Amino acid sequence: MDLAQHSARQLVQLMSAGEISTADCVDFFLARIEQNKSLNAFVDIEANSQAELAELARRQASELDASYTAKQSTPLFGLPIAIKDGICTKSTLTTAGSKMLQSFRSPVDATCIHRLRDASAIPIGKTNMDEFAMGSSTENSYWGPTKNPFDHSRVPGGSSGGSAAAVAARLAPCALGSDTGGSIRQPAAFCGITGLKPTYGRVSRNGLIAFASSLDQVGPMARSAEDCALLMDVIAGHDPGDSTSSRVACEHYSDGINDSIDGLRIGVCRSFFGEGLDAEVGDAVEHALQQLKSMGATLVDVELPHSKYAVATYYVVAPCEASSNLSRYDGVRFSYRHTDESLDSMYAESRGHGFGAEVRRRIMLGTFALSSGYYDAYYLKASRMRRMIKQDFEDAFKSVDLIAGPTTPSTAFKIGERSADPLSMYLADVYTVAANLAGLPAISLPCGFDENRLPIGLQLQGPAFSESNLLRAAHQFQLNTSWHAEGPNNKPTGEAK
Amino acid sequence: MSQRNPENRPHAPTPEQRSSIILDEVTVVIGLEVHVQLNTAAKLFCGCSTEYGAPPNSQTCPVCVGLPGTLPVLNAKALQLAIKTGIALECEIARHTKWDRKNYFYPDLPKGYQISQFDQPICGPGHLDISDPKGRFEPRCVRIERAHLEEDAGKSIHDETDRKGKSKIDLNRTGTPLLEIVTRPDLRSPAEAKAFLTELKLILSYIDVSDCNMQQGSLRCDGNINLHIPFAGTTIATPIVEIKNMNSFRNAERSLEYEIGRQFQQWQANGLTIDDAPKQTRGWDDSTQTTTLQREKEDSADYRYFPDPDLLPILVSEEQIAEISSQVITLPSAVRKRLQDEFGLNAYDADVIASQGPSLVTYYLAVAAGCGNGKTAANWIGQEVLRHLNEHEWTIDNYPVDALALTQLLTKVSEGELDQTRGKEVLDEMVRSRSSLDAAIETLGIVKVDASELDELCDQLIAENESIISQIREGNTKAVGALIGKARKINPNANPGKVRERLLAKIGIA
Amino acid sequence: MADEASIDPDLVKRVAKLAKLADSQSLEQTAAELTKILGYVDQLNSAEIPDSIEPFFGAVEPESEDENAVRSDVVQPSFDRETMLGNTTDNDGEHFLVPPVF
Ligand SMILES: [Mg+2]
Ligand SMILES: [Zn+2]
Repeated sequence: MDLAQHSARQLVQLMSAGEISTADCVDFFLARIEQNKSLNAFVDIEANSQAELAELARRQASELDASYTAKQSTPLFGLPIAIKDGICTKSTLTTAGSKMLQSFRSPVDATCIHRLRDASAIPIGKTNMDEFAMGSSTENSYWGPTKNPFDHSRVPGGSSGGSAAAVAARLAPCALGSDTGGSIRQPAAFCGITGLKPTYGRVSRNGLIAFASSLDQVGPMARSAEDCALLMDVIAGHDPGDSTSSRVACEHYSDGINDSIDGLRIGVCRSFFGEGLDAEVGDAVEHALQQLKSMGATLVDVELPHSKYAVATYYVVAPCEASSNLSRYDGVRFSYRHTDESLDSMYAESRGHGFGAEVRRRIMLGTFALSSGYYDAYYLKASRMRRMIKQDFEDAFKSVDLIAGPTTPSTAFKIGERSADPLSMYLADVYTVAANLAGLPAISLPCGFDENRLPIGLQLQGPAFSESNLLRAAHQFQLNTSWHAEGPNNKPTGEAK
Repeated sequence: MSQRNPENRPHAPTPEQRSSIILDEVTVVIGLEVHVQLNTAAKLFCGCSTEYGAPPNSQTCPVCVGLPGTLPVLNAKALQLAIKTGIALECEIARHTKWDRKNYFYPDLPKGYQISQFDQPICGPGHLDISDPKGRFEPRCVRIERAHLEEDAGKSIHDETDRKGKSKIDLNRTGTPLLEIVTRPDLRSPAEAKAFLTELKLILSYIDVSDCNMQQGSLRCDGNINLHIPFAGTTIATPIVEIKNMNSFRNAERSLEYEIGRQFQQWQANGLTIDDAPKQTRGWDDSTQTTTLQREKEDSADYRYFPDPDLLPILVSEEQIAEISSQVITLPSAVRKRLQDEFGLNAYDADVIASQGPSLVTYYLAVAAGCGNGKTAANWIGQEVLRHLNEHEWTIDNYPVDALALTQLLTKVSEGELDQTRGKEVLDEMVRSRSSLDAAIETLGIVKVDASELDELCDQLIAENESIISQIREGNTKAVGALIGKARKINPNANPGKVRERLLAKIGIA
Repeated sequence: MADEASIDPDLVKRVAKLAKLADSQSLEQTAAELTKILGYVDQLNSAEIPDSIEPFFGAVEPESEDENAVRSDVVQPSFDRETMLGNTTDNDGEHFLVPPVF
């Protein structure tokens, strides 16, 4: 049985029915992780942190097997899951891709991990990421770049690039990522998988290492929308430990996906299809829109007049919050300490050496934008623009149920291609950041390939707490298409076509 | 802003003119910032205990140590206590309040920012009235600018021996709820500042929001001070100095006194005004009784306040404010007024009772009602009871004589069964041996002197003191006092009043 | 409004001091990088935002007092000290240790 081809949902069914043991399932994926180390999808510091977590996963699996009864009813029974390394897992290392946290062990699980464990899911590894989730390529990791399983010379996107690559390469049936400006959706698009950024407040941030608190959301990444729904049913919901967690009741996502999208009004923002969009991506997305139309949806033009300011707004708001969120990495209590020379040099040198270049850049940017004399012109102005962007969506969603468009302007770019130019990297987020600024849910799902057989993502955005609708539309699309089922095909890597 | 030469300004006083001005002409301007630890059981944003004195770092958790991924959740009680304080200070209570981050680095500030309130404090403008029962300064309404909630930092323990050893960080205190109360610069003397602090502390104990224990740091005070110097029809203001670490009311008063002298001398020497020099932060050094420069505000931090995205704004309802208002029943000012209006005490005596705190007031009210004489109750409590409390470092709550027992004692005194002096001896004995009124009376051997015994005693006095008797007969009734003293020696239980009355009757004067 | 491209090496130095960041990269280079990014961000200046628009800071605000995100004043057990000190080697078993603070 090639477990790699099974969906998360199928694996849970097989294990719940006792047809395969959870230990065998965990071992299978652990072996795949081991065999595909060259992808660098998992953080494996000095070759022992992954082994440590693998050992825990095996122990958890054998406990599940030992207590197995046919009547077990936990929703994710034995399901192996890859966890972005910015999400705290108790006792094992959580580094957020940073030297700063190279030896940090959280004494607590994140709420989402706690919920996964309660559902009998098994974390099998911590996935690589851009340091503190700052990046769109997973090149900004202290542990080196992750490779795109479709082309090892290319980036998997980021910051949840490790999770995306792991799922795409079938090293795990599903994963958790986090999305601050597109960090779930953009790598999902680059790696040909499905990733959902939930409404702000839908999934607890407790235990998610903060990048920009008002934008960060944990979300599911899997090959299909159906599997994302399966995970959402477990991780979503109010958490009294996160003050920003929503008390709006959750829908049952797995149930909702089966209804047809007949009559669904899908908004299309024509300005997304203009300058800057790769033609092949544009074509694939247009085809996807026609596909949705043929399934009964109606396409309606909408305008989001301020979305053109989204990236500029984002690159003020996110660095401002980050500059403060990352102040706790001072070398005193848990983070990297470079020197004991003096208090001042301990601070400056530990932070100077513990953070990578992009993180330092954003801390500088945010510190500047909040500093006396600049706050109004930058932080306040951006926060006011943020409301305009949010209102645009609110206006648009008066006449449509969803808005569809490309997830990214291009397919996966080459490793190193944009590293020298931060701004060009930031523009990879041009379609995704608005949902974070407005706090809205959005999903990316595969809708085609370019001529290099690199995946293309379709993004669906919805009003607050419309995850059910997004998952339904995506699932219905996937019932009628097979893009999401296409794997990297084990093509020799980085080879000329 | 760097230091400028004030001499270049037109109409600036010359050094000679400066030295001709005397300190008496100068107006002192003081504003205070008081940090009060609110008496919640748990910290402001996590569940750790706020108990003082635990072993270092034993009251910490991932949240208050600022571990990655942790989030704050507000303790509702802290908000209530802040509102309660605001009501007592007649502050405007914000219906919408929010949280801001104050960013700066310090080893005992785990997150690299303090969660505080910047532009929407829970308590807006209010006031606190101060007066001196002895009239040393005019009554003054001190405006409160604001009061906001924030989290306390931890403690840094420095190597004081050679200053080279590492500093130790204890985070037990980190996250304890603080209310920062900021006054307008309305205080005009160190004595007023001390009176303000004393009254504030009293109010906080009346409404039970803080234990105000200064040794344990639950009430801390910083002061801003400068001088307004009249010159040629205008006023010259000296640079503002913030004094940190005024860790007792006495130190507050002393450091402000010191700073007045220092600032005046400085100004006479260099003429620098508020426009010439940046705000300074100085620390009070108890050992040298001086303030020393800590930093000049110019190179101080830029705190980069911004709304904390981990916390939601808080809404406060009218009902909530009304509910908390109903808990703010007695305040010291109202008690003073009531003691004067209802019980006829003078301002001084009323203040003596009120400033001991709500428990003693309750005790007083019970005794006053029981014995039917507010003044007598005030005299006994203000003198005898307070003397006992001070001697033994007790509070009224562990005073061995309860209100009922004191009432009974005072009744015996007022009915003439015991004279004042005997009564006080009885109270001392009740305290000393923790005994009941009757037992104390018995221990002291006090027995009632009946009419025949009194007659006998008076006859004896008349027989033995011929010369005094003749003085009295000649109209010197004061001389009877000497006989009463003798009577006490013969029979200590004889009531002096009755002895006097009987003697005068026998002599034929009354 | 701050001028466009207003980041010079002096400002970089000031900001780095605030942020407590040592950087091996030259002040000039950092200034150039930040200037470029801010040059992009400065397009916000050309956007019309009506005066009535309040800033949006992200989370959805409570609509009534009962939606306040608060907890009751109940003490939860603290973590053991060994665990809390466990992520740094520089401790004396009781405290976190740092270079002398003066
Ligand atoms: Mg303060
Ligand atoms: Zn705590």
